[in-house]
Amino acid sequence: MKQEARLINTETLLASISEAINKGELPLGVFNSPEIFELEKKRLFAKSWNYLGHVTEIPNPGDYIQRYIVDDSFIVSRDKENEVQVLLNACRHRGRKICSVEKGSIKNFSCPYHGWVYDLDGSLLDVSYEEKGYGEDAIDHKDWGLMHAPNVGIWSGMIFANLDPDAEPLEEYLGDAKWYLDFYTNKSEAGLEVLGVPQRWVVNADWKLAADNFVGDGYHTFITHASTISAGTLPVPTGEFLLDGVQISMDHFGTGMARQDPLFNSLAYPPPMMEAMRKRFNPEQNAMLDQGVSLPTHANLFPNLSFLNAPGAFTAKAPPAPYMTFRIWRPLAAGKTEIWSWCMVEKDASDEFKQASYKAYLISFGASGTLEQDDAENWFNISQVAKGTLSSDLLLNYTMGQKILKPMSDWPGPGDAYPLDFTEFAQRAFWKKWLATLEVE
Amino acid sequence: MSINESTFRELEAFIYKEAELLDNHQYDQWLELWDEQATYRMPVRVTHTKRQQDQEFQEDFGHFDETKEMLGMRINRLKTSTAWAEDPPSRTRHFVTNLRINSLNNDQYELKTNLMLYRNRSDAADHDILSAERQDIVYQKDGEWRFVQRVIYLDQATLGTLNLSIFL
Repeated sequence: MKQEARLINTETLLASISEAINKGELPLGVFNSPEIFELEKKRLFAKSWNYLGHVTEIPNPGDYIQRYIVDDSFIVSRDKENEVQVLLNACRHRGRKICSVEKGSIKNFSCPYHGWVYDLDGSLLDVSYEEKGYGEDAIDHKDWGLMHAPNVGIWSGMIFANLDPDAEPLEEYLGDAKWYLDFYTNKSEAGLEVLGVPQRWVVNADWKLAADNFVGDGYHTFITHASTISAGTLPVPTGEFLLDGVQISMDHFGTGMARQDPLFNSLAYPPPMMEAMRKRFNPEQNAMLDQGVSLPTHANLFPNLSFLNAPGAFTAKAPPAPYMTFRIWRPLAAGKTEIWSWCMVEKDASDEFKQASYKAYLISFGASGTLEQDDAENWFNISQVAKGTLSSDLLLNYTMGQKILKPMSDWPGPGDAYPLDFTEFAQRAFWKKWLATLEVE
Repeated sequence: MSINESTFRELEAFIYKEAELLDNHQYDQWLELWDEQATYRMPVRVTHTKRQQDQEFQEDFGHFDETKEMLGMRINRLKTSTAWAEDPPSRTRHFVTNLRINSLNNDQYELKTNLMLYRNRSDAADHDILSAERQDIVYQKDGEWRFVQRVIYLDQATLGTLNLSIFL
C-alpha cells in the first residue's frame, strides 16, 4: 500500500515536470530531490551508455582501473589477449570488492576474503579448498566468473558500459553526435591519450547542473567567468565570445561553437596542427569550419559525459595553448556529485605542446582551475537553494531563444543548428530526453 | 646536516608568517615570498596497492603545477570583483606543525611540514579539512627567506572540497 502511494507520487511528480518542460520551465526541486535520484539510478543510469575511461589508461595486458556507474564498481582491465574487459568488482562468493585501488597492473585478481582467483578477463581460475570443501567438479568455473558489464562499447578509444543487456549498440546511440565528437577525438592520426590520471573530487552539487551547463550554456560565460577573462587566463576579447556562435541541439547531445577571429576559432591549435586536422575532417565538417565558426568547444553527451576544448593562457612568454577535457558527473546522491576530469591531448603531439596544453588545462579546469571553481560555486549554490520547500516548486525560465530563433537552413552538420550560443535549445533538449528516460519504467 | 637553533627559529617564524598571510588573504605579500623561478606543485594521488605505493603520486600531473607567473595570474583573478568562488572568501586556518629542516649543500634548506587546513564558507556551520605534508625548499636572498619549491602531498586521492580556490 505504502509502495503504491509512492509510485503514484513519482508519476505525479514526473507529470508536473513534464507540464513545466513543455512550457519552457523547470521546477528547481529537480536539482536536489532524493525521489528523483532514486528514479535516475534505476531508470536512467541503469539504461544509459556510461563513460568509464580511455583505452590509453590501460595500455598493456594486465593493466586495470577501477571505475563506477553510480554505486556499481567495475574493473576495467586489459586481458592477456589485449582485449578490454569491464567486470563487476564483486567476488561471486561473498561479493567483496576484489580490487580496492584505483589503478595498477596485475597477473590475476584474488579476493582477500576467501581467496577465489579470477583472470584478467573475469574467468574463475581457482576456488580455495575446492575439492575438499565443495567436491570435485561441484563448481562449474564457467558459471562463476566475475560478472561482465551487460553491454560494453568502445568508440574512438572511449570505453562505455551499459547495465541494460537490451541497450542499443553504442555506435547507434552515438549516432549523429559522432559527427561533432570527431572534432574532439579525431584531430590526429594517433588519436588522443590521457595525460596523467583523472582528477576526482566531490561537490555538493547535482550532476544535472553540470550537464545542463556543458550541453548548452554559452550564456553564463560573460559573468560567471568574468574574472578568468580579465586575469587573461581565458584569452578572449570579451565574455560574449560565444554570443554570436552556434548552438547544436540533438535529442541526446548538444554542443556550442564561437564565431570569432581565426585565432580563436582554431582554439589556439598551431597552424600545422590545424592544417593536419583539416585533412582528417570530411568535406561537410570542413564546410562547417569554413563558415567561420570555431572548433566545437563545450558539449555534453547524455546523460553525464561532458567535453570542453578551449584555449588557455598561463604565461606571457608563449601564446595561449589549446586544452581538452573529458569529464563525467558521477551522481552520489541527490545534490551530490563526484567530478572526474580527464586532460586529453593528441598522442602524437610534441612534448612541448603536451606540456603547454597541460598547464593551460590546469589553470582553467580541474579542482584548481579558475573556470571550474566558479562553475562549481554556482552549481553548489543552486543545489542548496533547491532543497527548500517553497523553492523546490519554483519554476525556472528555460525559454531563451524559443521565440526568436529558427534552425539554420544552410548548416552542413546534423542536428538543429541555431545562430547564437547564448540560447537554450540544447538545454531544453537535454531536459526532454531526461524526462522521457525517467518516464519509462 | 644539522642546523643551528637560530636558523631553525628563523625558518619556523618564516613558515608561520606565510600561513598568516594566506589566512589573512594578503596574497600580494604572499607572492613576494616566492623566488622568480619557484615551482608550486600538488601531485594528484592515486590509490595503488601496497606493492605499487611508489606510483601513488603523479609527479608529472597535479592539481597544481605552478610557476610564479601562474600563481600571480590566480591572485590577479582573486583581486577582481567577480571571483565568485572566493566571494565571500573562504575562512581558512593553516595549522602548520612537525617542522623538520635539512640543510642542503647550496645554502638552501629543505622544510618539511604537516599541514591541517580548515576551510569554512558563508553561513554554513560545516567545514572542509585538507591534510597534507608539504616539502619546501627555501634560501635567503638579500636577507629575506624565499621559497624556490613547494610540493604538497595531500592525504586524499578524491578531494573532499568544492574547489581549490585557496592555496595550501
